[in-house]
Amino acid sequence: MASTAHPMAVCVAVIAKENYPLFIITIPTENELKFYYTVHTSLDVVEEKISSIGKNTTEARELYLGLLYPTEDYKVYGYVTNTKVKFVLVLESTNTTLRDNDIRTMFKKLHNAYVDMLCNPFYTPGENITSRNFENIVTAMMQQD
Amino acid sequence: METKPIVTCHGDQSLFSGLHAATLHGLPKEACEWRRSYGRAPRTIHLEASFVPYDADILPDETTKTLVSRPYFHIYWTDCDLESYKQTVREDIAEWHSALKEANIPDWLIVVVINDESKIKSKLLPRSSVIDKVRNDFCSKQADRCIVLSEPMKTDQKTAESWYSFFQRLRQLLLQAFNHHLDKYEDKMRSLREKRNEPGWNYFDYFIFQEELAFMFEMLGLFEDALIQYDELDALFTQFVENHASGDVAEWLTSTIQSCKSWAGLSLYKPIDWLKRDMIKLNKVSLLEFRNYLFSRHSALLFLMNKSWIVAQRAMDFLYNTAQEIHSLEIDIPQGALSCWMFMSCLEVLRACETLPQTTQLDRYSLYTATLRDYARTKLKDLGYLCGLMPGSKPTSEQLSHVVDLSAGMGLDTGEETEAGQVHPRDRLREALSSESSFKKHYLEMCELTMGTYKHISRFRSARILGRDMADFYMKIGEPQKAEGFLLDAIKMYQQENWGNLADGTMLDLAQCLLSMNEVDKYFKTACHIACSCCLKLNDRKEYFKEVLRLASENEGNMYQMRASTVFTLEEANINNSSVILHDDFIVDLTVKSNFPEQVVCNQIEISIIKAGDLGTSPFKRRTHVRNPSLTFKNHEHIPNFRPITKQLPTHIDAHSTYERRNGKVVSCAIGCANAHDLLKRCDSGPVESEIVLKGDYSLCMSVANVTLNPGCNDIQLRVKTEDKGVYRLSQICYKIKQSEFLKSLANCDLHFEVVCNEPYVELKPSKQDNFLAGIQQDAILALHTGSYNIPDGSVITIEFNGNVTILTESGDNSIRIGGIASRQTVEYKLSLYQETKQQVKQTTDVKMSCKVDCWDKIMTCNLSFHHPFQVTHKLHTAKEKKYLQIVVCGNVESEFYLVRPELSCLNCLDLELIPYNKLTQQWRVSFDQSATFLWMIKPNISDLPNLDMCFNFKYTSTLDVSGEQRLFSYICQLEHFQTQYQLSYTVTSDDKTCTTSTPATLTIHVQKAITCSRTDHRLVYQVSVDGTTWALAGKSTGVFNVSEREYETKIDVLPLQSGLLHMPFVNIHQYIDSTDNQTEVWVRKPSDSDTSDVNKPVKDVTRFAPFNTGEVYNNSQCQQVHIYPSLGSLDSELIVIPL
Repeated sequence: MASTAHPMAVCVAVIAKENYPLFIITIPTENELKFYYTVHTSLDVVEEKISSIGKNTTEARELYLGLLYPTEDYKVYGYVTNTKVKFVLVLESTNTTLRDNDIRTMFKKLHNAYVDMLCNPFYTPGENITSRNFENIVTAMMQQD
Repeated sequence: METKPIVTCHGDQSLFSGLHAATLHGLPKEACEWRRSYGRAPRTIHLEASFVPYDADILPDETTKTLVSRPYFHIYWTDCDLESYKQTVREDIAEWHSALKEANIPDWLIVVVINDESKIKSKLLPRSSVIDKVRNDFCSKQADRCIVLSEPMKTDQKTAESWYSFFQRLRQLLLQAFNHHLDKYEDKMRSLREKRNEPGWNYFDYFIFQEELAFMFEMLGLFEDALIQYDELDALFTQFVENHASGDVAEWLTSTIQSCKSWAGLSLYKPIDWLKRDMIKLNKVSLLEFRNYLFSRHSALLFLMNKSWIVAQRAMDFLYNTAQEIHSLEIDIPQGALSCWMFMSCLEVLRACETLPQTTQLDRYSLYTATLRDYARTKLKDLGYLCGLMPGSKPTSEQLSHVVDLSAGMGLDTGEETEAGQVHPRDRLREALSSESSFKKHYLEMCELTMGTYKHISRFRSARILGRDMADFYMKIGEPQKAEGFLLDAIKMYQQENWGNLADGTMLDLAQCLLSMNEVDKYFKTACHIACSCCLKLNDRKEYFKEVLRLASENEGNMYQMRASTVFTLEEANINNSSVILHDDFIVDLTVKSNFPEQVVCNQIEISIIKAGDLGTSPFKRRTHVRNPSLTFKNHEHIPNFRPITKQLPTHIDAHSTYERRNGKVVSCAIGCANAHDLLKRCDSGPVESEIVLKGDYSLCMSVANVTLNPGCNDIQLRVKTEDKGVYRLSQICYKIKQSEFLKSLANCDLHFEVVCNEPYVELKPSKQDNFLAGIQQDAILALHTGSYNIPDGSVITIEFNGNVTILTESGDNSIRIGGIASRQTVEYKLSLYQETKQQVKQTTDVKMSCKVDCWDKIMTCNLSFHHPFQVTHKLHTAKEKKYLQIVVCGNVESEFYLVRPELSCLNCLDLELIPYNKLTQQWRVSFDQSATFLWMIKPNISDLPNLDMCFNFKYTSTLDVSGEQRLFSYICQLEHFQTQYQLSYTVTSDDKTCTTSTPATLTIHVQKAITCSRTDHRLVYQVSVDGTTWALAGKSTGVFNVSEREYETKIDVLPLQSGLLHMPFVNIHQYIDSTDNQTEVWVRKPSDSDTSDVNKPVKDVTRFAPFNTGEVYNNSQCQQVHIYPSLGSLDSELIVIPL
């Protein structure tokens, strides 16, 4: 039931603490702006989740925020690092092969790649991410099946 | 569902009818714990039951699958006495018991009711009561199947206890019965489920089977468990659909996925739709219908659990999943039908949630209702497009018939009771699709409602997306002024959050909106913004760039003015020289980045200049405290995208302090903030930052015309000629393209320069030597520095001195004619100076020169210092009565002067001869290192010479003297009271031939009147001064005497203290002055008086005497020495140091 025609994720976004985009990549590039709107709107839910988590800080915070909201065509997942950098993943709704755990793994990978990128002393936190390496990792992650 | 577990009752029906009410109500009064198999968590339930009369026919057999309608439990009621038991009741029970046994039913209970306790008590024999008999007959193995209910109609303690134990037993046994049946049922269910992959298996059969279990749980009040059953069923179905979609065909699904004819919405009016359930049983249900049924069951249970907000939450998933399934199963459904279904279902969920009176959960609802509303809205929009109901388009006949088709499939009016004031979703949809205006009304209503809900739950981003949609709609219905607000809101948010491409994307819509509103000014600005956006496509940008140029050239007689920052950014402004000399050009180099996509010609670039103050005053504020807002360890501008959402504190705050003083004391002090209003202003909901920029004052400006600016960075140089001195600030830059001006304030850049003005000044220097010399004519150079001024042709400089200086210029007087001189030039003129040198005390003479240029209204001054070449001194020497005058000429300067023909003459007395000891014809050189000495003997021709005025002249020449003349130098001195009056001599002698230490000796003082003595009063005072280490004086050191004779002699005893060649004690003589006749008396203290009080005060015991002038006393013994031998006994050794 592998659907090789579909990419794993259609859009991956890294959002700064202040909610501006650091990095957005979409696989069908022609309708880029639509995904931008989707990602931006999803921040509403991300913030809601973060603030609700903030209330019970006794246990270590779960970084994975789960499904933010489904739309007819896409599913949007969220993840927030301890420094409030957000990762947003947009999947096609038709993609039923991925389970929650797979999404978690993808986020983990993304987080690792982000941390590696951040370790670059020439990168100033808060700047747009231009790292070729990071982009390659993300694109590979999006296309693998 | 109003069903309750069924319990049959047999036996004495009249007895039971009396107890029925008590039993019915007593049973659920107390909760009991239900322990269940398979390790499931125990549940606490309130058992209820409905009691029906027993009938052997209703006993279920093994094959009966029902759970709900089956009689679970069977009770036999009796209150008979022993007699009737034996006669009839026993048989009756046996028949009932065997019937149950036959049907394999273990769940029964025999209740023996004892109405009169006393009767039983009287019995002496045990095991003889009815209960004992019953136990014995039927319950030998199961003692708990028989229970006594004693005196049930009474209200005393005992009765209550009896009832209690009865209920406990009944509950326990009922639960046992449930467990018994459920276990069996679940086993069956499981085995049925295991067969799901076998051919011929039908999901819907299984569904009905498991739903029975759910009903059962619901009946028992275990809604959660019931919900779990439905969740399991849902999951199973979903899995089948997925598998089916990916090729794993399930036979039973084929009927479900047949083309869809009805898209009636979800209905939550009834908790269960039995009609639908029957359809499901018959496997005649469509996917939509089944899903509707399943979700309505979910909802019904959730409503029962008072968790209706979960209904709203689940509704979204339900709708999406269903739509997803329709797609993946490729179910044939008319276009738009699904939208209809979704719209109606959304509204139905919303309706159901709203009707429930749970205001406390409103917030939780809103979270989900917002998305539901939004979803319904989008669906309505889709339908609007599909059916041609969107404003601006007329529905075609095809579209009209499509509306009819869709309406037909929405389901029939089933007469569901709609509450007053509520419109059924189906009716609402039909109405909305009925006409264009109706659609508009409904659509906008939904939009507003959704917007309100989004804002209520602070999902502003979602609200903005919606706002964009609404703007789009308003544009279509031709109300762009309404659209503008929404678009501006969206842009503002995107800009604040720094989603540039979203903001700029929305800007495209805004441009269209403004164009249709004919807001030319705003449209121009928006067009500029789009043309300069880095996020938009090049085609769009170029198109709007053309618009910008078109507007700029069309706008006759009017100017577009806007901020330059979006279009042109000033990357760098370099001032090479911030201090400019008057009349010079001030130059600033700019690096301007043009964001336009194509080359543009700026008609003019100007920078306005404001005079900030006069020279020397610094108009720029000293920054006392610079604050770095958090996260800005660097300058913001260098971090791309950085613009904080919340207003950051500015880097500097203007504050001023005020003190209030009363009577010189500070009574209060305060710190005030000058721009508090700005700083504390709310920034979120205030008006958008003023777009209007005012053009500054360009009366003084630097400008450059016709500059071609390429996209990217351009280097431009601006210059201005400075006209006036002072400190200037660059205030504003203006880029002018045709009829548009782009302005940017430079106030924050702190660009300033000063125009300085150099004053003219003169310098006068000797041309050869370092310093000016007095007494010779010398060349000098006058240097005129014009500074920042120029001198017109034919001007005259007039030079004057405040001292006795002769000046000679080329024109022969004290003025110089000069030609035209430009500013910042130095011109030198030659002239010669002469200052007379003469006898004086100081070695230099300072002179001030004033220089006047006739074309300027100012006098320039310069200080000069002339060095005198000679320093002349004289000294009188005496030998007995002979007098000599020595004159020394010392050089003051390094250069050599030649002296000739020295002459000494006496101006007031001719009775003397001056006999030179030098050869007067020779030439002397005098310089810094060389002096000339002259000596004359004064030989008087008369005995008594008066005071003499002597004049010494010589001629000098110098190689530095440009005139080459011999010049005369005169020196005049006076000689007063210089004739020798007395000759003084003194010796030290001893009685022995030699003087030895510590042996007294005699100092003999001898004073003789000189030949030239002219004095009449010969009273004198001698004074012997000893230092105390070489000589000791025995007797008075002073003594008054009178030389009335030719000479006078006196002796004083002295004691030498040291041996060797010693100077004799110094003896001097003074004039004795009478205390009465002389005012200019001098008071001298006795040496013994060590007090240091004022000398001039007349004190007793003071000797009065006055000194003689130089030359009046000739001391013969001044430098004589006497040889003192050491005494024999002393240990002193003699040491004579003979100087070589």
